[in-house]
Amino acid sequence: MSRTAPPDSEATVATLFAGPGSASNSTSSVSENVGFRFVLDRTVQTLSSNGVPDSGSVSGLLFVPSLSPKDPCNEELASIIPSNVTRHEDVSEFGYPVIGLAPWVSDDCTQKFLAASRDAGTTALVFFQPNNNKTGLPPPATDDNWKLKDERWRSDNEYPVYAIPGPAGTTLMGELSWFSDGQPKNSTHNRTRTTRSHESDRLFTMIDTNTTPNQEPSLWSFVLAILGTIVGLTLVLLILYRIIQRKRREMLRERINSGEVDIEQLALNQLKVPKETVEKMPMYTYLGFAQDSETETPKTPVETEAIEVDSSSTTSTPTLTEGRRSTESDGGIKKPEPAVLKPDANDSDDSISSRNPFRLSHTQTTCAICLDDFVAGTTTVRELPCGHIFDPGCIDEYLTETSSLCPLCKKSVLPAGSCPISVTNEMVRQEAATRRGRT
Amino acid sequence: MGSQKRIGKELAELMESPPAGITVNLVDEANMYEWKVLMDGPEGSPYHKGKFQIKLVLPTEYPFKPPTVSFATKIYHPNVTNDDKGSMCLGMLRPDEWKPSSKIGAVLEFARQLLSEPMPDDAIEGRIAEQYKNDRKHFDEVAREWTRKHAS
Repeated sequence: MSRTAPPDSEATVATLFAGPGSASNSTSSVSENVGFRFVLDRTVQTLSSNGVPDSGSVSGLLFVPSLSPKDPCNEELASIIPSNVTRHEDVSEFGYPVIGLAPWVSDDCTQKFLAASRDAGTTALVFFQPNNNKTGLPPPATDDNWKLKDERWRSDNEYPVYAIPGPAGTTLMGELSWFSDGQPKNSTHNRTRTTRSHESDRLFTMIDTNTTPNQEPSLWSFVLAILGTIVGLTLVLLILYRIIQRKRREMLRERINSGEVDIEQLALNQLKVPKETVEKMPMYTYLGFAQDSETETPKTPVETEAIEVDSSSTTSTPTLTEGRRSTESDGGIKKPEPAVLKPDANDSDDSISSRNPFRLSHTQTTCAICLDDFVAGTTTVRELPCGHIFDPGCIDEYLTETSSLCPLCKKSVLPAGSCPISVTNEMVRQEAATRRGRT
Repeated sequence: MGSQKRIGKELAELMESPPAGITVNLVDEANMYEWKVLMDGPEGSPYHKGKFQIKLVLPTEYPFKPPTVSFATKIYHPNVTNDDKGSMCLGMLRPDEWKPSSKIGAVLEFARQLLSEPMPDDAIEGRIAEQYKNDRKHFDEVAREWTRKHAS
């Protein structure tokens, strides 16, 4: 029957638990299944904390201190204290600690209850103001409510004093008249105690105060709450950030697919060509350079010249980088245009496209990768979308393992809108940077 | 394997008909990936009459990856690092600009061309480039001096 102390910063606030205790001599355990259970959570005010153990918990059987029979207070309080309530005699014989319950009405009567409790050797005394109907926490100890003429009452009494709300006190008082010996007693008090059975029920009370040891958890929970909030907030932000990044990636992907953005620039030459794409590129037997140049005499010299510059830029005297670029754009990039413009013809019929006199492939005589000469009618070559031809073994390895750009003209071999790699955050950043730079 | 075949082809070609002012050899007969190149300083440049030893290293992925060129002989040049490595900074040797169709012969000729016409705007040694642009007379003097000291 342990009660966890509720976290509360106010040190004087206590929690009172009252339940019928099976008051046998051997055990002080409180059985849960008895009809009455009364809990005051955080509405118990500490008026005096004298003699409270370190644990902050006081427990015992509840009784009402008896005043001397001739005391005028008896009469005054007759309506509040039923005549058959549990008195000290009813609980003292069990050998348990006892806790007094008394109304706080007048200065005089209160002093008398304090004295009676002292004489009874009570563990604690609980006051309530019967005329106060508020169910909340009674006023603090410093309040005028708890002022007596003799201010020493707190120090004189070595037991702790608590206050509970008026209605709660009245309820407990009523219950005490029922639990004195299981049946209403007559007012004579002359019953023989010896007949009382071991099973007699008494109100067992436990008062748990939030004193220092109980305050630490509240501080800890405060720190934990802050930490939890920070962690939670961080998580939320992180998730939000992730979602935004993902959205951006998806948007970029869409723009790549629509051909709006050049994937080559974003992927920083990390792009490689999937094997399937490479295998889809036309492969045919090299027919030779001479045949075509004969049939297309007027065109060929121009074309050959342009290509010579491009593909042999390595063997001829190299110029500066800028110079090489311009040669490329003059020869390498412009020439393949017809081939690119007629993708249908390429795809549907390789033999037709290979016979096309405008094709760049017919001016190439060696594979630029292995430097082997193509043999007309024997060598199988693979043609890239830009029109350049290579040994399939060389170019396939290059495209799948090194780059997606043509080794000769650096044009991408990937169809527009295809993106064989997943869009990364790095690419999103890169793309945003280029866009910012452009505007 | 493909790289060896191509390198062999290029080496044979360069040994048979070497470009002007350039002689190539293997550092070690068993290793095709390291070349020793001897380059004459081109006429009309402060490097004239100097003999520069160049180390050319080919990656195993050649020709898909570019070779690296470094001067074993100390040289005063805006595009060659002024340290023990003597790395040469050639635009065409940058991984993203490298084309597999480029041949070693072209790279070497380009390097020799660079001796005649340094590219101060694409320099690796900013101080030398600055001097080349603003104080050509002194640059030529120092370059000539270094050539005499280290390359002859």
